[in-house]
Amino acid sequence: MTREEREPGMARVLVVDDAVFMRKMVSDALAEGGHDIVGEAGNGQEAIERYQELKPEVTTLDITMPEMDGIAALKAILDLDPAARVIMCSALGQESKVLEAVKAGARDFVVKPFQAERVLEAVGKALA
Amino acid sequence: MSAEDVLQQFARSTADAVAGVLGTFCGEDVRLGQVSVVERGVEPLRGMPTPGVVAEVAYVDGVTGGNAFCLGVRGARRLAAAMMGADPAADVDDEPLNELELSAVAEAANQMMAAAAQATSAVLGQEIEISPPTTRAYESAESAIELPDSSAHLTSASFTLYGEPCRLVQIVPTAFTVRMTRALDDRALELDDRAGRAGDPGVAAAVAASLTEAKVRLTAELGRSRMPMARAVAMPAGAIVELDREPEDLIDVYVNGRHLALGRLVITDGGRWAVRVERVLDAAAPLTHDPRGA
Repeated sequence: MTREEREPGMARVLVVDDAVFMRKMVSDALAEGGHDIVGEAGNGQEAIERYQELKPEVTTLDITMPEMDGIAALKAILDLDPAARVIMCSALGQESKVLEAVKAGARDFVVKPFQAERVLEAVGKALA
Repeated sequence: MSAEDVLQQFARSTADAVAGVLGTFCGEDVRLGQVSVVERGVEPLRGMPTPGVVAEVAYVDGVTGGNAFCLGVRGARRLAAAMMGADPAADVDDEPLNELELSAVAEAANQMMAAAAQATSAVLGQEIEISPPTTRAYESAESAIELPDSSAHLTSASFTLYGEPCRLVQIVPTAFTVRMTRALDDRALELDDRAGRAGDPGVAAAVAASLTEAKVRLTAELGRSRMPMARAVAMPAGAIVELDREPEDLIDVYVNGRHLALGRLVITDGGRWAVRVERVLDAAAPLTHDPRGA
């Protein structure tokens, strides 16, 4: 499906988290909300590769990941595409990381454990 | 403050943070039991069900130390079900956990330790980062966790989730205990100075004083309900959700998630909601996130 054919407010999303469980939770919530999950990645390095390959409209990015963390991946993605819409996912207690991400250009963040509604809202805001 | 006191306080604050996060997954079916410093030579996972799974999260950058969250396969399966919106009370078996279940347990450990790290960084005045979790299955509780340094202290906090036992073991290097002790003592002295009582030997009293100044969050809870996640997500405006309480029942008062009292909802002269405390619960009782079932 091309971008023009899709309903307004719906996005092609790349979901990045090292936990397969979290990828499923985020993907299910977004798919339920009508978004199109175009791909998933399990670490920062993979996220950059998948981003280049898939050119998603929105990327959700976990902060704590092996290989390359979400902050480094965010910066690399924004270097590749300054207009990238990235939403950070963090656990409690990572305020300074979240702040760093927002300063670096992340559009929004959600704190885990989160409600499906909150993820949808963040994606909606990133698209607006 | 003695090292033993510091360890006990550290174990307690971690256990409270962990119980809080488990409560977000499992609601009222979380109980925090004994929190203690493990004596030397005692196997920290003694009595845990086998086979089981252990999720380990290390502290990095800020401090060193490890945390191992252990639970039997049945408990892990119930926790994973709760996290995925399935029925955690359904029949479960001892079959090895699948990838998704293991990942759910790892994610739970990740979120619990992030909350615990936040509590610890508040004491140390420095942000503490955690490593991504690693999980593995174990057949024997005795060999489930590796103890890297024989001089390290161990603390243990026992919980039950849906009646299944689980345990958090913290590996606390001596260097960390020393830093924590210093941070708590410094804070006490700082308060001492501020109060113009420099030189007062009552360091422990000052620590207590510092705690009495800490701001806490008080919550009054009218009632609860459980529903499948799908229903919660799809709930329209105008939906009526029935709660588990009669109009004449007392309501629960929590302080930082700890159930402290029962009270009655009243309206003040100024037209605001207020709670009249009717009964204060035993502060020494084990922490529970399900006051009515306790």
